[in-house]
Amino acid sequence: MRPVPVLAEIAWDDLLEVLWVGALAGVGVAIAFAFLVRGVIQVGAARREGRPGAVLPNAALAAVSGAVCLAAVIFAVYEMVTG
Amino acid sequence: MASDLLLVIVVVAALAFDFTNGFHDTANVVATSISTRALPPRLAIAIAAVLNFVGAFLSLKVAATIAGGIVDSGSITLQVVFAGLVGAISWNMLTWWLGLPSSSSHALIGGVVGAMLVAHGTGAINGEGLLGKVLIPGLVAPVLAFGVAGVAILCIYRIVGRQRPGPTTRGFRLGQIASGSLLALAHGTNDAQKTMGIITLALVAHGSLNGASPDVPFWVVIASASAIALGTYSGGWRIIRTMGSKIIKMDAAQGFAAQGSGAAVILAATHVGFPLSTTHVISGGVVGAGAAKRLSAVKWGVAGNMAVAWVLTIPAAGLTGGVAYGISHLAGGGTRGPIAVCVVIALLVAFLLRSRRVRTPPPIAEGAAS
Repeated sequence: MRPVPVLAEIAWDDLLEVLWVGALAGVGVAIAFAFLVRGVIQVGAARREGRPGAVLPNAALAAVSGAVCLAAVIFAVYEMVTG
Repeated sequence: MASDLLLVIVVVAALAFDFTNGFHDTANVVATSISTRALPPRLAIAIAAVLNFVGAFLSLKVAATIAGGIVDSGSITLQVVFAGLVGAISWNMLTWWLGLPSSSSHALIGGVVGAMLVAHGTGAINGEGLLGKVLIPGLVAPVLAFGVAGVAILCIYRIVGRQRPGPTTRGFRLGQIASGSLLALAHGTNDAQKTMGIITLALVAHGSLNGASPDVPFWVVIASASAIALGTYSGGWRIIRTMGSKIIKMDAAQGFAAQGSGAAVILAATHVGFPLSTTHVISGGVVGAGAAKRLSAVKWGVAGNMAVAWVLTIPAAGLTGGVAYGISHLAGGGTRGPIAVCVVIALLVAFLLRSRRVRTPPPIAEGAAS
């Protein structure tokens, strides 16, 4: 085994990509999904409690959050297949 | 003719390893979904098996790293590949028996490196590849998953903390079906490729493929995907218990955060061709999701046992791979070597089973007890 200059042989670009993509995707999708759950629960509560004004913004929050989650998953699989 | 027979033995051993990989690592994919009751056990395992199969077709970058980035593929022989597989399978079986979620990937890499060291010395090991593509990413990824799962669960609690618990739990259980599926896909993508890489190495050693730029044949992809999916469907319940409830008792949101962070890190690593340990990553996610809520929620003794198994994996599999190569070499190489190794393993297993029977005291008869 040839002596390895440790820092020089690490694939820094790849490692950094894993760090920022993993962090962004992991935390981002969790936040988006939490807003989806919150939006759906709030829509149900607004309907039960007769607050029609609260239905639309919460439904919009749930829809946008759901779309973000779905887009993230599709993008991840697309990148795996084509990258 | 003899080398063809040896190739068949090596390919069968590689697929057996792939089966144990799926069997051993099923826990990574399904344990959190089962423990939070997001999915019934059989359905969770069936979904994981199907998605492991599909995931194996998504990418070949990790296979390329295994086939050419860690050892000198020009010096590899079928005996070395076989001995490496013996090391990996032995370690997988031992840790499965103990219920420890150790890394099949590191066992495989350790086994091949150990056998290669004994066969050709240090010059045949690609130190740069081993360090830069296996060891450093292998250290960084579980820490990343730990941090990501911790931050994710804190954000989740902040966003849904004041909502009614029933619907929130139901929502995250549904989310776990998606995050668990993505994790199964990521696992199939990263782990099945390691076997593809090993079979490709064997084909290079046999002379069936060009060592300079070996392409993974399609039959290798199909066979590896099938073996890991079958192994996953067989399930490893001992490790599922450790992952699902012995480290922390999780709620559905924690399960979602752990699986989501694990899938994100594994998919990102697979994209750049790092052969990560999926076991280490998802374990990091599980511990991170638990520790962020309450440090004392994590059973640190169990986590410590797992950490010891992680540290031992590469040296232990390497040692076993090296010993297996030594036995194979002493037996005269060719097809006789692997057959001699199989005989030694069979004798060892018989000895262990016999010693277990001797040590187990006979049941006390009702009359004799009084």
